[in-house]
Amino acid sequence: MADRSQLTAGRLALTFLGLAALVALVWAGCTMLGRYDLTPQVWRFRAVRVFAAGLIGLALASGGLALQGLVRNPLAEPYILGISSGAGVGVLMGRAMALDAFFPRWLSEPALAAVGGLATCFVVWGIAQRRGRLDPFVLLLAGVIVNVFNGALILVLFLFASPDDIASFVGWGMGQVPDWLITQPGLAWSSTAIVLAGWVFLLLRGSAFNALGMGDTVAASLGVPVHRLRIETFVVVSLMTAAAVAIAGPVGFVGLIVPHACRLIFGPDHRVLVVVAGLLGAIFVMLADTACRTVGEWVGLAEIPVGVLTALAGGPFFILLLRRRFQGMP
Amino acid sequence: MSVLDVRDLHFGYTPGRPVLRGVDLDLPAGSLCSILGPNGSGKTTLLRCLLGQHTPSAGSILLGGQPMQSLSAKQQARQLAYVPQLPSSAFAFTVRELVAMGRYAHQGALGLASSDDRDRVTDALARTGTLAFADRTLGELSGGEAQCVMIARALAQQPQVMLLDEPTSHLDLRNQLLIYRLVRQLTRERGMAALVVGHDINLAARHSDQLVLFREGRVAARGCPDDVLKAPLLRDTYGVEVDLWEVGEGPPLVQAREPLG
Repeated sequence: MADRSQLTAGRLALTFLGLAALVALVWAGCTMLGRYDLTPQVWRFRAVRVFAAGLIGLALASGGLALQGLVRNPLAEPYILGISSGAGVGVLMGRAMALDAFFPRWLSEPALAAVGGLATCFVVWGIAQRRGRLDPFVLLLAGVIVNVFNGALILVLFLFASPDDIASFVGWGMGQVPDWLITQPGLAWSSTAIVLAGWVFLLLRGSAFNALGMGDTVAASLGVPVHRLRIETFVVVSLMTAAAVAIAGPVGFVGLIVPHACRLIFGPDHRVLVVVAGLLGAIFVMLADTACRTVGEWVGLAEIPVGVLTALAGGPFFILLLRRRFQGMP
Repeated sequence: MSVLDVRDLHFGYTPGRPVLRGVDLDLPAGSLCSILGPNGSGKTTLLRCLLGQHTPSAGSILLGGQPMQSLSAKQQARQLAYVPQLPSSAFAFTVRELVAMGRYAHQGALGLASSDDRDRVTDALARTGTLAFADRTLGELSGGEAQCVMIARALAQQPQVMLLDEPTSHLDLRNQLLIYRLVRQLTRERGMAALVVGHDINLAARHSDQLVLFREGRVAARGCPDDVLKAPLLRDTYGVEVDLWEVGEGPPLVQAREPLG
Protein backbone atom coordinates (compact mmCIF):
# COMPACT_ATOMS: atom_id res chain seq x y z
CA MET A 1 0.00 0.00 0.00
CA ALA A 2 2.81 2.37 0.93
CA ASP A 3 4.41 1.88 -2.46
CA ARG A 4 1.20 1.90 -4.45
CA SER A 5 2.04 5.30 -5.95
CA GLN A 6 5.53 4.21 -6.96
CA LEU A 7 4.34 3.00 -10.28
CA THR A 8 7.05 1.89 -12.65
CA ALA A 9 6.94 0.98 -16.31
CA GLY A 10 7.91 -2.60 -15.33
CA ARG A 11 5.00 -3.06 -12.94
CA LEU A 12 2.57 -1.55 -15.43
CA ALA A 13 3.88 -3.84 -18.17
CA LEU A 14 3.58 -6.91 -15.89
CA THR A 15 -0.01 -6.00 -14.98
CA PHE A 16 -0.82 -5.55 -18.66
CA LEU A 17 0.80 -8.81 -19.72
CA GLY A 18 -0.83 -10.79 -16.92
CA LEU A 19 -4.27 -9.49 -17.76
CA ALA A 20 -3.73 -9.86 -21.51
CA ALA A 21 -2.83 -13.53 -20.90
CA LEU A 22 -6.05 -13.88 -18.90
CA VAL A 23 -8.05 -12.33 -21.76
CA ALA A 24 -6.43 -14.79 -24.19
CA LEU A 25 -7.30 -17.71 -21.89
CA VAL A 26 -10.92 -16.62 -21.54
CA TRP A 27 -11.13 -16.02 -25.29
CA ALA A 28 -9.86 -19.54 -25.98
CA GLY A 29 -12.33 -21.01 -23.48
CA CYS A 30 -15.26 -19.03 -24.80
CA THR A 31 -14.63 -20.00 -28.41
CA MET A 32 -14.68 -23.71 -27.45
CA LEU A 33 -17.87 -23.62 -25.41
CA GLY A 34 -21.13 -24.46 -27.13
CA ARG A 35 -23.47 -27.19 -28.23
CA TYR A 36 -22.20 -27.60 -31.80
CA ASP A 37 -19.09 -29.52 -32.86
CA LEU A 38 -16.02 -27.33 -33.00
CA THR A 39 -15.44 -27.42 -36.75
CA PRO A 40 -13.04 -24.79 -38.16
CA GLN A 41 -16.01 -22.86 -39.53
CA VAL A 42 -17.89 -22.87 -36.18
CA TRP A 43 -14.69 -21.88 -34.40
CA ARG A 44 -14.14 -18.93 -36.79
CA PHE A 45 -17.67 -17.64 -36.24
CA ARG A 46 -17.32 -17.97 -32.50
CA ALA A 47 -13.83 -16.45 -32.46
CA VAL A 48 -14.99 -13.30 -34.23
CA ARG A 49 -18.02 -13.07 -31.94
CA VAL A 50 -15.93 -13.51 -28.77
CA PHE A 51 -13.45 -10.96 -30.09
CA ALA A 52 -16.31 -8.51 -30.67
CA ALA A 53 -17.60 -9.13 -27.15
CA GLY A 54 -14.13 -8.40 -25.77
CA LEU A 55 -13.84 -5.22 -27.83
CA ILE A 56 -17.24 -4.01 -26.58
CA GLY A 57 -16.31 -4.77 -22.98
CA LEU A 58 -13.00 -2.95 -23.31
CA ALA A 59 -14.64 0.12 -24.84
CA LEU A 60 -17.49 0.39 -22.35
CA ALA A 61 -15.51 -0.41 -19.18
CA SER A 62 -12.58 1.91 -19.90
CA GLY A 63 -14.98 4.58 -21.20
CA GLY A 64 -17.10 4.33 -18.04
CA LEU A 65 -14.01 4.58 -15.88
CA ALA A 66 -12.84 7.71 -17.72
CA LEU A 67 -16.25 9.38 -17.36
CA GLN A 68 -16.28 8.58 -13.63
CA GLY A 69 -12.83 10.13 -13.20
CA LEU A 70 -13.84 13.11 -15.28
CA VAL A 71 -16.98 14.02 -13.34
CA ARG A 72 -15.76 12.62 -9.98
CA ASN A 73 -18.83 10.41 -9.76
CA PRO A 74 -18.73 6.58 -9.76
CA LEU A 75 -22.26 6.46 -11.21
CA ALA A 76 -21.35 7.97 -14.58
CA GLU A 77 -21.08 5.59 -17.55
CA PRO A 78 -21.91 5.74 -21.28
CA TYR A 79 -25.27 3.91 -20.96
CA ILE A 80 -26.58 5.95 -18.02
CA LEU A 81 -25.48 9.24 -19.58
CA GLY A 82 -27.43 8.38 -22.74
CA ILE A 83 -24.37 8.16 -25.04
CA SER A 84 -25.15 4.52 -25.91
CA SER A 85 -28.81 5.20 -26.74
CA GLY A 86 -27.79 8.29 -28.76
CA ALA A 87 -25.40 6.15 -30.77
CA GLY A 88 -28.24 3.63 -31.15
CA VAL A 89 -30.52 6.29 -32.63
CA GLY A 90 -27.78 7.13 -35.14
CA VAL A 91 -27.33 3.50 -36.23
CA LEU A 92 -31.07 2.79 -36.50
CA MET A 93 -31.59 5.98 -38.46
CA GLY A 94 -28.99 4.78 -40.95
CA ARG A 95 -30.62 1.34 -41.17
CA ALA A 96 -34.16 2.75 -41.46
CA MET A 97 -32.97 5.01 -44.28
CA ALA A 98 -31.12 2.04 -45.86
CA LEU A 99 -27.95 4.10 -46.02
CA ASP A 100 -25.86 0.94 -46.38
CA ALA A 101 -27.11 0.84 -49.96
CA PHE A 102 -25.07 3.99 -50.63
CA PHE A 103 -22.19 3.77 -48.17
CA PRO A 104 -20.22 0.75 -46.92
CA ARG A 105 -21.46 -0.47 -43.56
CA TRP A 106 -18.02 -0.21 -41.94
CA LEU A 107 -18.19 3.54 -42.59
CA SER A 108 -21.86 4.41 -42.24
CA GLU A 109 -22.68 2.60 -38.97
CA PRO A 110 -19.74 3.78 -36.81
CA ALA A 111 -20.08 7.28 -38.32
CA LEU A 112 -23.82 7.52 -37.61
CA ALA A 113 -23.35 6.03 -34.15
CA ALA A 114 -20.63 8.60 -33.49
CA VAL A 115 -22.90 11.44 -34.63
CA GLY A 116 -25.73 10.18 -32.38
CA GLY A 117 -23.42 9.60 -29.40
CA LEU A 118 -21.68 12.98 -29.74
CA ALA A 119 -24.99 14.83 -30.18
CA THR A 120 -26.35 13.22 -27.01
CA CYS A 121 -23.13 13.95 -25.18
CA PHE A 122 -23.34 17.58 -26.25
CA VAL A 123 -26.97 17.88 -25.04
CA VAL A 124 -26.29 16.18 -21.67
CA TRP A 125 -23.17 18.31 -21.15
CA GLY A 126 -25.10 21.46 -22.09
CA ILE A 127 -27.81 20.71 -19.52
CA ALA A 128 -25.42 19.82 -16.70
CA GLN A 129 -22.76 22.51 -17.02
CA ARG A 130 -22.92 26.03 -15.70
CA ARG A 131 -20.04 28.40 -16.42
CA GLY A 132 -17.86 25.43 -17.35
CA ARG A 133 -18.57 23.57 -14.08
CA LEU A 134 -20.40 20.25 -14.19
CA ASP A 135 -22.94 19.27 -11.55
CA PRO A 136 -22.56 15.46 -11.30
CA PHE A 137 -26.15 14.81 -10.19
CA VAL A 138 -27.66 17.10 -12.85
CA LEU A 139 -25.45 15.22 -15.32
CA LEU A 140 -26.94 11.87 -14.29
CA LEU A 141 -30.47 13.25 -14.33
CA ALA A 142 -29.90 14.78 -17.77
CA GLY A 143 -28.59 11.39 -18.94
CA VAL A 144 -31.70 9.60 -17.69
CA ILE A 145 -34.02 12.12 -19.40
CA VAL A 146 -32.09 12.02 -22.69
CA ASN A 147 -32.15 8.19 -22.51
CA VAL A 148 -35.95 8.25 -22.33
CA PHE A 149 -36.06 10.71 -25.23
CA ASN A 150 -33.72 8.53 -27.32
CA GLY A 151 -35.88 5.49 -26.48
CA ALA A 152 -38.88 7.34 -27.92
CA LEU A 153 -36.90 8.24 -31.04
CA ILE A 154 -35.99 4.57 -31.51
CA LEU A 155 -39.69 3.64 -31.30
CA VAL A 156 -40.50 6.27 -33.93
CA LEU A 157 -37.82 4.75 -36.19
CA PHE A 158 -39.51 1.34 -35.80
CA LEU A 159 -42.57 2.82 -37.53
CA PHE A 160 -40.52 3.25 -40.69
CA ALA A 161 -39.04 -0.25 -40.63
CA SER A 162 -40.35 -3.39 -42.29
CA PRO A 163 -41.62 -6.23 -40.00
CA ASP A 164 -38.44 -8.26 -40.72
CA ASP A 165 -36.23 -5.35 -39.82
CA ILE A 166 -38.16 -4.70 -36.62
CA ALA A 167 -37.31 -8.20 -35.34
CA SER A 168 -33.57 -7.60 -35.88
CA PHE A 169 -33.85 -4.04 -34.53
CA VAL A 170 -35.43 -5.28 -31.29
CA GLY A 171 -32.66 -7.82 -30.69
CA TRP A 172 -30.01 -5.24 -31.50
CA GLY A 173 -31.75 -2.64 -29.31
CA MET A 174 -31.42 -4.96 -26.31
CA GLY A 175 -27.66 -5.23 -26.85
CA GLN A 176 -26.68 -8.40 -28.71
CA VAL A 177 -23.21 -9.42 -29.84
CA PRO A 178 -23.82 -10.52 -33.45
CA ASP A 179 -22.81 -13.67 -35.30
CA TRP A 180 -22.67 -11.78 -38.60
CA LEU A 181 -19.59 -9.66 -37.83
CA ILE A 182 -17.40 -12.22 -39.66
CA THR A 183 -19.23 -11.18 -42.82
CA GLN A 184 -18.44 -7.49 -42.17
CA PRO A 185 -14.64 -7.37 -41.74
CA GLY A 186 -14.62 -3.66 -42.56
CA LEU A 187 -16.90 -2.88 -39.61
CA ALA A 188 -14.81 -5.12 -37.34
CA TRP A 189 -11.58 -3.38 -38.33
CA SER A 190 -12.92 0.18 -38.13
CA SER A 191 -14.47 -0.46 -34.69
CA THR A 192 -11.29 -2.13 -33.44
CA ALA A 193 -9.17 0.80 -34.60
CA ILE A 194 -11.45 3.35 -32.88
CA VAL A 195 -11.62 1.43 -29.59
CA LEU A 196 -7.89 0.73 -29.38
CA ALA A 197 -6.93 4.31 -30.29
CA GLY A 198 -9.38 5.60 -27.65
CA TRP A 199 -7.98 3.20 -25.06
CA VAL A 200 -4.43 4.45 -25.69
CA PHE A 201 -5.69 8.05 -25.39
CA LEU A 202 -7.27 7.26 -22.00
CA LEU A 203 -4.15 5.41 -20.87
CA LEU A 204 -2.14 8.59 -21.44
CA ARG A 205 -4.62 10.61 -19.32
CA GLY A 206 -4.58 8.35 -16.24
CA SER A 207 -2.59 10.72 -14.02
CA ALA A 208 -4.74 13.68 -15.15
CA PHE A 209 -7.89 11.77 -14.03
CA ASN A 210 -6.19 11.15 -10.67
CA ALA A 211 -5.50 14.88 -10.25
CA LEU A 212 -9.08 15.76 -11.19
CA GLY A 213 -10.22 13.86 -8.08
CA MET A 214 -8.99 16.83 -6.01
CA GLY A 215 -11.22 19.27 -7.86
CA ASP A 216 -10.90 21.35 -11.01
CA THR A 217 -8.94 24.20 -9.42
CA VAL A 218 -6.32 21.96 -7.80
CA ALA A 219 -6.03 19.86 -10.97
CA ALA A 220 -5.50 22.99 -13.08
CA SER A 221 -2.86 24.22 -10.62
CA LEU A 222 -1.06 20.89 -11.05
CA GLY A 223 -0.82 21.51 -14.80
CA VAL A 224 -3.89 19.60 -16.05
CA PRO A 225 -5.67 21.46 -18.89
CA VAL A 226 -9.04 20.68 -17.30
CA HIS A 227 -11.43 22.14 -19.86
CA ARG A 228 -9.60 20.65 -22.84
CA LEU A 229 -9.32 17.28 -21.08
CA ARG A 230 -13.11 17.22 -20.47
CA ILE A 231 -13.96 17.94 -24.09
CA GLU A 232 -11.39 15.50 -25.49
CA THR A 233 -12.41 12.70 -23.13
CA PHE A 234 -16.14 13.13 -23.75
CA VAL A 235 -15.48 13.00 -27.50
CA VAL A 236 -13.17 9.96 -27.25
CA VAL A 237 -15.55 8.03 -24.95
CA SER A 238 -18.46 8.87 -27.27
CA LEU A 239 -16.50 7.49 -30.24
CA MET A 240 -15.52 4.33 -28.35
CA THR A 241 -19.13 3.81 -27.28
CA ALA A 242 -20.30 4.45 -30.83
CA ALA A 243 -17.92 1.76 -32.13
CA ALA A 244 -19.34 -0.72 -29.58
CA VAL A 245 -22.95 0.23 -30.34
CA ALA A 246 -22.39 -0.08 -34.10
CA ILE A 247 -21.59 -3.76 -33.50
CA ALA A 248 -23.89 -4.85 -30.70
CA GLY A 249 -26.35 -2.08 -29.87
CA PRO A 250 -26.49 -0.47 -26.44
CA VAL A 251 -25.06 -2.85 -23.81
CA GLY A 252 -25.68 -1.25 -20.45
CA PHE A 253 -23.94 -1.06 -17.09
CA VAL A 254 -20.60 -2.64 -18.13
CA GLY A 255 -19.01 0.76 -17.55
CA LEU A 256 -20.46 0.83 -14.05
CA ILE A 257 -19.86 -2.70 -12.74
CA VAL A 258 -16.35 -3.32 -14.06
CA PRO A 259 -14.65 -0.04 -12.98
CA HIS A 260 -16.24 -0.37 -9.53
CA ALA A 261 -14.93 -3.92 -9.11
CA CYS A 262 -11.51 -2.81 -10.38
CA ARG A 263 -11.34 0.04 -7.83
CA LEU A 264 -12.10 -2.44 -5.05
CA ILE A 265 -9.32 -4.77 -6.22
CA PHE A 266 -6.64 -2.42 -7.58
CA GLY A 267 -7.26 0.87 -5.74
CA PRO A 268 -8.08 4.31 -7.17
CA ASP A 269 -5.07 4.93 -9.47
CA HIS A 270 -6.44 5.62 -12.97
CA ARG A 271 -3.05 4.88 -14.58
CA VAL A 272 -3.56 1.24 -13.55
CA LEU A 273 -7.35 1.26 -13.74
CA VAL A 274 -7.53 2.24 -17.43
CA VAL A 275 -5.50 -0.88 -18.25
CA VAL A 276 -7.23 -3.32 -15.90
CA ALA A 277 -10.78 -2.01 -16.41
CA GLY A 278 -10.33 -2.33 -20.18
CA LEU A 279 -9.06 -5.90 -20.00
CA LEU A 280 -11.43 -7.06 -17.27
CA GLY A 281 -14.29 -5.37 -19.15
CA ALA A 282 -13.32 -7.48 -22.16
CA ILE A 283 -13.34 -10.66 -20.03
CA PHE A 284 -16.66 -9.71 -18.42
CA VAL A 285 -18.53 -9.26 -21.72
CA MET A 286 -16.85 -12.33 -23.29
CA LEU A 287 -18.05 -14.50 -20.39
CA ALA A 288 -21.48 -12.86 -20.25
CA ASP A 289 -22.03 -13.29 -23.98
CA THR A 290 -20.80 -16.91 -23.91
CA ALA A 291 -23.23 -17.61 -21.05
CA CYS A 292 -26.07 -16.01 -23.04
CA ARG A 293 -25.20 -18.00 -26.18
CA THR A 294 -24.61 -21.39 -24.58
CA VAL A 295 -27.58 -21.32 -22.19
CA GLY A 296 -29.83 -20.56 -25.17
CA GLU A 297 -28.22 -23.33 -27.24
CA TRP A 298 -28.44 -25.96 -24.49
CA VAL A 299 -32.03 -25.37 -23.48
CA GLY A 300 -33.14 -25.01 -27.06
CA LEU A 301 -34.52 -21.51 -26.64
CA ALA A 302 -33.65 -18.29 -28.44
CA GLU A 303 -30.43 -16.59 -27.45
CA ILE A 304 -30.53 -14.13 -24.57
CA PRO A 305 -29.09 -10.74 -25.65
CA VAL A 306 -26.03 -9.93 -23.53
CA GLY A 307 -27.48 -6.47 -22.82
CA VAL A 308 -30.35 -8.12 -20.96
CA LEU A 309 -27.94 -9.97 -18.68
CA THR A 310 -25.79 -6.89 -17.98
CA ALA A 311 -28.92 -4.81 -17.30
CA LEU A 312 -30.29 -7.46 -14.92
CA ALA A 313 -27.02 -7.36 -13.02
CA GLY A 314 -26.32 -3.65 -13.46
CA GLY A 315 -29.72 -2.18 -12.52
CA PRO A 316 -29.68 -3.36 -8.88
CA PHE A 317 -25.96 -2.55 -8.71
CA PHE A 318 -26.65 1.04 -9.80
CA ILE A 319 -29.37 1.41 -7.13
CA LEU A 320 -26.98 0.02 -4.51
CA LEU A 321 -24.29 2.57 -5.46
CA LEU A 322 -26.83 5.38 -5.56
CA ARG A 323 -28.12 4.54 -2.09
CA ARG A 324 -24.60 4.37 -0.73
CA ARG A 325 -23.89 7.76 -2.29
CA PHE A 326 -26.99 9.32 -0.69
CA GLN A 327 -26.12 7.83 2.69
CA GLY A 328 -22.91 9.86 2.67
CA MET A 329 -24.84 13.10 2.10
CA PRO A 330 -26.27 15.37 4.80
CA MET B 1 14.11 39.49 -6.85
CA SER B 2 10.37 39.41 -7.57
CA VAL B 3 8.97 35.97 -8.47
CA LEU B 4 5.42 37.20 -8.98
CA ASP B 5 4.72 40.62 -10.41
CA VAL B 6 1.17 41.86 -10.95
CA ARG B 7 0.78 45.18 -12.75
CA ASP B 8 -2.41 47.24 -13.12
CA LEU B 9 -4.67 44.16 -13.23
CA HIS B 10 -8.30 44.65 -14.24
CA PHE B 11 -11.06 42.04 -14.35
CA GLY B 12 -14.86 41.89 -14.24
CA TYR B 13 -17.34 39.01 -14.52
CA THR B 14 -19.79 41.19 -16.47
CA PRO B 15 -18.95 44.18 -18.67
CA GLY B 16 -19.21 47.51 -16.88
CA ARG B 17 -18.94 45.94 -13.42
CA PRO B 18 -15.23 45.62 -12.63
CA VAL B 19 -14.19 43.45 -9.69
CA LEU B 20 -10.46 44.18 -9.89
CA ARG B 21 -9.57 47.81 -10.70
CA GLY B 22 -5.86 48.15 -11.28
CA VAL B 23 -4.25 45.79 -8.78
CA ASP B 24 -0.46 46.01 -8.29
CA LEU B 25 1.45 43.41 -6.36
CA ASP B 26 4.95 42.04 -6.23
CA LEU B 27 6.23 39.09 -4.31
CA PRO B 28 9.97 38.83 -3.60
CA ALA B 29 11.48 35.34 -3.33
CA GLY B 30 11.36 33.97 0.21
CA SER B 31 8.60 36.33 1.36
CA LEU B 32 5.17 35.69 2.85
CA CYS B 33 2.44 38.08 1.78
CA SER B 34 -1.10 38.02 3.13
CA ILE B 35 -4.05 39.49 1.30
CA LEU B 36 -6.78 40.81 3.58
CA GLY B 37 -10.01 42.63 2.99
CA PRO B 38 -13.77 42.41 3.44
CA ASN B 39 -15.93 39.85 1.62
CA GLY B 40 -16.45 40.77 -2.03
CA SER B 41 -13.39 43.02 -2.19
CA GLY B 42 -11.77 40.93 -4.96
CA LYS B 43 -9.31 38.72 -3.06
CA THR B 44 -10.58 35.41 -4.42
CA THR B 45 -10.99 36.88 -7.89
CA LEU B 46 -7.33 37.91 -7.83
CA LEU B 47 -6.41 34.38 -6.78
CA ARG B 48 -8.40 32.97 -9.71
CA CYS B 49 -6.66 35.33 -12.11
CA LEU B 50 -3.30 34.19 -10.73
CA LEU B 51 -4.37 30.57 -11.21
CA GLY B 52 -5.29 31.28 -14.83
CA GLN B 53 -9.00 30.58 -14.26
CA HIS B 54 -9.95 34.12 -15.30
CA THR B 55 -8.38 36.14 -18.10
CA PRO B 56 -7.74 39.73 -17.01
CA SER B 57 -9.26 42.44 -19.19
CA ALA B 58 -6.11 44.57 -18.75
CA GLY B 59 -2.79 44.47 -16.95
CA SER B 60 -0.10 41.84 -16.70
CA ILE B 61 1.00 38.93 -14.51
CA LEU B 62 4.68 38.02 -14.66
CA LEU B 63 5.68 34.68 -13.20
CA GLY B 64 9.44 34.32 -12.75
CA GLY B 65 9.82 37.29 -15.11
CA GLN B 66 7.73 35.73 -17.89
CA PRO B 67 4.16 36.70 -18.90
CA MET B 68 1.86 34.03 -17.46
CA GLN B 69 -0.17 33.60 -20.65
CA SER B 70 3.00 32.63 -22.53
CA LEU B 71 3.51 29.61 -20.25
CA SER B 72 1.89 26.21 -20.81
CA ALA B 73 -0.24 24.66 -18.05
CA LYS B 74 2.67 22.44 -16.98
CA GLN B 75 5.19 25.32 -17.08
CA GLN B 76 2.88 27.36 -14.84
CA ALA B 77 2.48 24.43 -12.46
CA ARG B 78 6.25 24.12 -12.11
CA GLN B 79 6.35 27.69 -10.83
CA LEU B 80 3.06 28.20 -9.03
CA ALA B 81 1.29 25.84 -6.61
CA TYR B 82 -2.12 26.16 -4.99
CA VAL B 83 -3.45 25.08 -1.60
CA PRO B 84 -7.27 25.05 -1.41
CA GLN B 85 -9.42 26.08 1.52
CA LEU B 86 -10.92 22.60 1.97
CA PRO B 87 -8.76 19.58 1.17
CA SER B 88 -10.75 16.92 -0.69
CA SER B 89 -10.30 13.90 -2.89
CA ALA B 90 -13.13 12.09 -4.66
CA PHE B 91 -11.19 8.83 -4.68
CA ALA B 92 -9.53 7.00 -1.79
CA PHE B 93 -5.92 7.91 -2.49
CA THR B 94 -3.36 7.63 0.29
CA VAL B 95 -1.54 10.71 1.54
CA ARG B 96 1.61 9.62 -0.31
CA GLU B 97 -0.33 9.23 -3.56
CA LEU B 98 -1.92 12.65 -3.16
CA VAL B 99 1.44 14.29 -2.53
CA ALA B 100 2.91 12.39 -5.50
CA MET B 101 0.30 14.12 -7.72
CA GLY B 102 2.29 17.29 -7.09
CA ARG B 103 4.86 15.84 -9.49
CA TYR B 104 2.37 15.79 -12.41
CA ALA B 105 3.98 18.76 -14.17
CA HIS B 106 7.44 17.14 -13.91
CA GLN B 107 6.41 13.79 -15.43
CA GLY B 108 5.76 12.39 -18.89
CA ALA B 109 2.48 11.36 -20.47
CA LEU B 110 2.21 8.04 -18.60
CA GLY B 111 2.78 9.78 -15.26
CA LEU B 112 5.42 7.29 -14.16
CA ALA B 113 7.43 8.35 -11.10
CA SER B 114 11.24 8.63 -11.36
CA SER B 115 13.53 8.15 -8.37
CA ASP B 116 13.84 11.96 -8.19
CA ASP B 117 10.03 12.23 -8.03
CA ARG B 118 9.94 9.71 -5.18
CA ASP B 119 12.68 11.57 -3.29
CA ARG B 120 10.84 14.89 -3.68
CA VAL B 121 7.61 13.34 -2.41
CA THR B 122 9.32 11.81 0.63
CA ASP B 123 11.05 15.14 1.31
CA ALA B 124 7.73 17.05 1.10
CA LEU B 125 6.07 14.51 3.43
CA ALA B 126 8.92 14.70 5.92
CA ARG B 127 9.15 18.50 5.83
CA THR B 128 5.43 18.96 6.52
CA GLY B 129 5.25 16.31 9.24
CA THR B 130 2.93 14.08 7.21
CA LEU B 131 5.28 11.13 6.67
CA ALA B 132 3.88 9.34 9.73
CA PHE B 133 0.46 8.98 8.10
CA ALA B 134 1.59 8.62 4.48
CA ASP B 135 -0.42 5.40 4.10
CA ARG B 136 -3.70 6.79 5.38
CA THR B 137 -6.41 8.40 3.27
CA LEU B 138 -7.51 12.02 3.59
CA GLY B 139 -10.78 10.98 5.26
CA GLU B 140 -8.84 9.45 8.14
CA LEU B 141 -7.05 12.70 9.03
CA SER B 142 -7.93 15.75 11.12
CA GLY B 143 -8.47 19.11 9.39
CA GLY B 144 -5.00 20.33 10.34
CA GLU B 145 -3.31 17.15 9.12
CA ALA B 146 -5.25 17.26 5.86
CA GLN B 147 -4.18 20.86 5.27
CA CYS B 148 -0.55 19.88 5.88
CA VAL B 149 -0.99 17.19 3.20
CA MET B 150 -2.18 19.83 0.73
CA ILE B 151 0.88 21.95 1.58
CA ALA B 152 3.09 18.87 1.09
CA ARG B 153 1.47 18.29 -2.30
CA ALA B 154 2.12 21.91 -3.26
CA LEU B 155 5.71 21.64 -1.99
CA ALA B 156 6.29 18.55 -4.16
CA GLN B 157 5.60 20.76 -7.18
CA GLN B 158 8.85 22.67 -6.36
CA PRO B 159 7.14 25.99 -7.03
CA GLN B 160 8.55 29.47 -6.79
CA VAL B 161 5.20 30.73 -5.52
CA MET B 162 2.61 29.03 -3.31
CA LEU B 163 -0.94 30.43 -3.29
CA LEU B 164 -3.03 29.54 -0.23
CA ASP B 165 -6.77 30.23 -0.18
CA GLU B 166 -7.95 30.75 3.42
CA PRO B 167 -5.88 27.75 4.57
CA THR B 168 -6.78 28.13 8.26
CA SER B 169 -10.46 29.09 8.02
CA HIS B 170 -11.78 25.76 9.36
CA LEU B 171 -8.94 24.98 11.78
CA ASP B 172 -8.60 25.33 15.56
CA LEU B 173 -6.21 27.83 17.17
CA ARG B 174 -3.29 25.44 17.44
CA ASN B 175 -3.57 24.26 13.85
CA GLN B 176 -3.98 27.81 12.55
CA LEU B 177 -0.68 28.69 14.19
CA LEU B 178 1.03 25.50 12.99
CA ILE B 179 -0.01 26.07 9.37
CA TYR B 180 1.18 29.69 9.31
CA ARG B 181 4.48 28.72 10.98
CA LEU B 182 4.99 25.90 8.51
CA VAL B 183 4.42 28.19 5.52
CA ARG B 184 6.67 30.84 7.09
CA GLN B 185 9.49 28.30 7.59
CA LEU B 186 9.12 26.90 4.07
CA THR B 187 9.45 30.33 2.47
CA ARG B 188 12.64 31.00 4.43
CA GLU B 189 14.19 27.57 3.86
CA ARG B 190 13.30 27.11 0.20
CA GLY B 191 13.37 30.70 -1.04
CA MET B 192 9.78 30.25 -2.18
CA ALA B 193 7.24 33.07 -1.93
CA ALA B 194 3.80 32.48 -0.40
CA LEU B 195 0.63 34.47 -1.01
CA VAL B 196 -2.06 33.77 1.58
CA VAL B 197 -5.63 34.97 1.20
CA GLY B 198 -7.33 35.10 4.59
CA HIS B 199 -9.51 36.87 7.09
CA ASP B 200 -7.56 36.56 10.33
CA ILE B 201 -5.75 39.91 10.50
CA ASN B 202 -3.78 39.14 13.66
CA LEU B 203 -2.54 35.76 12.48
CA ALA B 204 -1.56 37.21 9.10
CA ALA B 205 0.17 40.25 10.63
CA ARG B 206 2.23 38.14 13.01
CA HIS B 207 3.62 35.86 10.29
CA SER B 208 3.72 37.94 7.10
CA ASP B 209 6.44 40.15 5.65
CA GLN B 210 3.88 42.07 3.69
CA LEU B 211 0.16 42.77 4.10
CA VAL B 212 -2.04 43.81 1.20
CA LEU B 213 -5.37 45.34 2.15
CA PHE B 214 -8.09 45.09 -0.52
CA ARG B 215 -11.04 47.44 -0.80
CA GLU B 216 -13.56 47.41 -3.66
CA GLY B 217 -11.17 45.74 -6.09
CA ARG B 218 -8.25 48.03 -5.34
CA VAL B 219 -5.20 47.78 -3.11
CA ALA B 220 -6.05 50.17 -0.28
CA ALA B 221 -2.71 49.68 1.47
CA ARG B 222 0.38 47.57 1.04
CA GLY B 223 3.49 47.20 3.17
CA CYS B 224 4.87 45.70 6.35
CA PRO B 225 2.23 44.87 9.01
CA ASP B 226 3.03 47.91 11.19
CA ASP B 227 2.39 50.23 8.25
CA VAL B 228 -0.91 48.66 7.26
CA LEU B 229 -2.48 48.11 10.66
CA LYS B 230 -3.73 51.67 11.22
CA ALA B 231 -7.12 52.25 12.85
CA PRO B 232 -8.50 54.76 10.29
CA LEU B 233 -7.45 52.55 7.36
CA LEU B 234 -9.03 49.43 8.86
CA ARG B 235 -12.17 51.35 9.81
CA ASP B 236 -12.62 52.66 6.25
CA THR B 237 -11.88 49.27 4.72
CA TYR B 238 -14.02 47.03 6.93
CA GLY B 239 -16.66 49.58 8.02
CA VAL B 240 -16.01 48.84 11.67
CA GLU B 241 -14.45 50.73 14.59
CA VAL B 242 -11.25 48.97 15.67
CA ASP B 243 -8.96 49.07 18.67
CA LEU B 244 -5.26 48.37 18.29
CA TRP B 245 -3.42 46.83 21.23
CA GLU B 246 0.35 46.77 21.56
CA VAL B 247 1.31 43.36 22.94
CA GLY B 248 5.05 42.78 23.31
CA GLU B 249 7.09 42.75 20.14
CA GLY B 250 5.55 42.60 16.70
CA PRO B 251 2.53 44.26 15.13
CA PRO B 252 -0.42 45.44 17.27
CA LEU B 253 -3.44 43.21 17.89
CA VAL B 254 -6.58 44.30 16.08
CA GLN B 255 -9.93 44.06 17.82
CA ALA B 256 -13.19 44.97 16.10
CA ARG B 257 -15.35 47.09 18.42
CA GLU B 258 -18.50 48.22 16.63
CA PRO B 259 -19.81 48.28 13.06
CA LEU B 260 -20.16 51.72 11.53
CA GLY B 261 -23.53 53.04 10.48
